[in-house]
Amino acid sequence: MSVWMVAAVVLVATLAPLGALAAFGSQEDGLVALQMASLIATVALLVMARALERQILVDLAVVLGVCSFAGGLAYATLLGREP
Amino acid sequence: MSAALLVAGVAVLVAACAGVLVMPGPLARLHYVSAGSLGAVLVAAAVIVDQGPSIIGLKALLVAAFWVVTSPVLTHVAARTVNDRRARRP
Repeated sequence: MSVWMVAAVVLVATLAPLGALAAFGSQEDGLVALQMASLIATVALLVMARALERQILVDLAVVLGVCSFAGGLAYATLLGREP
Repeated sequence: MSAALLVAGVAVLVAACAGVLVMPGPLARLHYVSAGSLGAVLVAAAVIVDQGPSIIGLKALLVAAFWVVTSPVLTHVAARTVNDRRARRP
């Protein structure tokens, strides 16, 4: 197992506690956990692309980066409008 | 060299994740989301050093640059939302 694969496994493992925070914490905590998880998932896809030599995963990382920005903005805006 | 950059980047990201989990309150947690962008830059640098000038290196640079630009915007919007919701609470 290469160092790239180990790094990918570590990064994916950090998503689990963030998911737990989003599930069991307040709505604001969920927003913060979503942003952190988006960053980690993007970097994990980048590392997995190098570890598995699959270039399509890099494209997925680029798309996820753009979509997570839009999703985070939408989530924050809608959360701000909620009474 | 690329392994050192990769380990440093992953360590920064894991530390940022731990900060998000440990800190009390969403505003304190948001500080660590911003710090996580440094981890993305370090990992992208590791990919670029490892692969050299290639498509995957260029896209890694694109991902890192995108996160560096957009992360402060997202953090600002999230902090403003949290602050507004706190102000509206009775």
